[in-house]
Order: sequence, then structure tokens, then C-alpha cells
Amino acid sequence: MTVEDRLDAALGGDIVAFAASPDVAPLVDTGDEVLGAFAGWTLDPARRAEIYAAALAIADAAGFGGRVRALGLDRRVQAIAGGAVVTLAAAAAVAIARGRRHTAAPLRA
Amino acid sequence: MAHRTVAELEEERLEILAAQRDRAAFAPLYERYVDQIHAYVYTLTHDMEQADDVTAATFAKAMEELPRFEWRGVPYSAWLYRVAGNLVSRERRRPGWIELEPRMLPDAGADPALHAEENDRADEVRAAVAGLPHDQRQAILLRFGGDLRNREIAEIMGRSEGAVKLLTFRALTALRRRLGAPLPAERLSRSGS
Repeated sequence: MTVEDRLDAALGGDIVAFAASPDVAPLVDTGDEVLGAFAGWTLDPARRAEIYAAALAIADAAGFGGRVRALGLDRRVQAIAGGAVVTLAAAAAVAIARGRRHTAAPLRA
Repeated sequence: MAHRTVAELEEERLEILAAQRDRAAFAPLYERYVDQIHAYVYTLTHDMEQADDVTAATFAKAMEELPRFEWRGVPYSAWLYRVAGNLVSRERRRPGWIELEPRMLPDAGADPALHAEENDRADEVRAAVAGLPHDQRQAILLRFGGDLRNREIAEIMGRSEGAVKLLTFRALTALRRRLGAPLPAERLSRSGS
């Protein structure tokens, strides 16, 4: 059994391995100390909430983008979206022009 | 150190099933693991802002992958650590990456006047871990921060179980040399617990 195996057994709570390996006992102590140091790492509630909110935002954004990319539709969606913007802009321009005509007429009257 | 019991793993499996049905049920999993993942990322990056960002990205990925997640009888944290580790590696490859000096900040939520000596020592221990070579650091973080078994750590790191044992041995030897014996008070509190 190598010293790494004996350390591993002792870290795993094997009392026999621990007792039989005085050379690894100090390393087990240090391992215990490392365990305690990381168990004490606690984020405050505000920071936890911030990170969770950020995760939700990324997941929602990535969900749509990821699905689009997976289907290979990103260029098509951009083209469709671009086309829709152009169409909407044109429709809006027509509506504004009509609106102007409609509002302009009573003023002239 | 005790690993997760069968009952605890079963409870986690049910939580994951619930989260797969309703994303709102993901919150308990987040609460259980956010501190561990944050500590892991911070110890790898030495940068608090990056730790926040990578932790958020890790849980975002977790939520996104939930519908496809398959339970394999190992703690959910094993999967989270793998994602976080991959994200850190990806960040590390970016041109602007700068390796900062290990400097562990004290716990933001703790009263600074309380248990000052223990906090200083915990900071010292975390800083010593942060100063280890990358592979040793990762093995120590996954074992002592993540409470994972050698085979789970080996899978995350893409190494053999024997290699993980050797990394753990070398890391603890280096830490012992740097830190010396634990504080007497800590020894007493541990033996009493």
C-alpha cells in the first residue's frame, strides 16, 4: 500500500489506516483544516440573490439564442427579424403619413 | 470526512426531478451549492468579480441543461464543478486573462470582530490552497470544498483515481509545509465535535 493510499484511507475515516500511519496523521489534520476553511465560505444573502438573478437572466437569454443556434436558424431569424423591422417601419411610415393627412384635414377645414 | 449517504443522494435526485418539472424548484439546489461553486471559482481565479460571473454562468447552464440532465447516482455538485471548471478554463484562454496573486478576501457576511483569529487562519488556509499548482488546487478543492469521491474527481479532471490520490498527497504535503500544524483551538473544536 502506497503512502497516497494510506492517506486516502485515513482521510476517508479509516481509523485503522490512520492509527497505522503516523506519517500521514499531520496531513489528515491539514486536510481537516482545509475542510473547515472552505465550509466557512458563505456568501451574504444579497450577493446570493444577485448571482441567482444573473443566472436566471443568462439562462433565459441563452435559452432562446441556444435553441436558434442549434436549429441553424440564426441567420434566417435575423433576416426574418430584419425584414419584419423593415416591414414595420414601412407600415409605421404609411400610418404616420395617413395620420398626418387625417389630422391635417380638419385643421384646414 | 463523510460523503453523501444513499438517502441524501435520493433526496437530491427527487429535487432534480422537481426542478425538471418546474424551474422554480431549482432554488434549493442553488442554495445548497452556490457557496461551494463560488469558493471553487474564486480559488481558481483569485478574482471576486469573475467568481460572481462564472458562478452565475454555471447555474445558468445548469438551468438550461436541466431538461436533458440524467441522474447517475453522484452528487449534482460533480456536474456543477465540471461546468464551472470548463468555464474557468475558457476564460483563462482569453487574451485578456491575467493571473492574479492569491489573496483570499474575508467572508463578506461575517462580523469582522468575531472570531478574528479563526477567520485569519481560514483566510491563510484558503490563500495557501489558491497558491498550489493548478491540478493540485483542483483536486483539493473538489475533495475538501466539494466533498466528492476520488472517482468523481477523477472524472471531472480527466485523470485516473491514482493520479487524484497522488495530487491530494502532494497538495496536502505542500500545505502542511506552508501552514504548519492547525491552531490549537481548531484542534480542540474538531476533537470535541
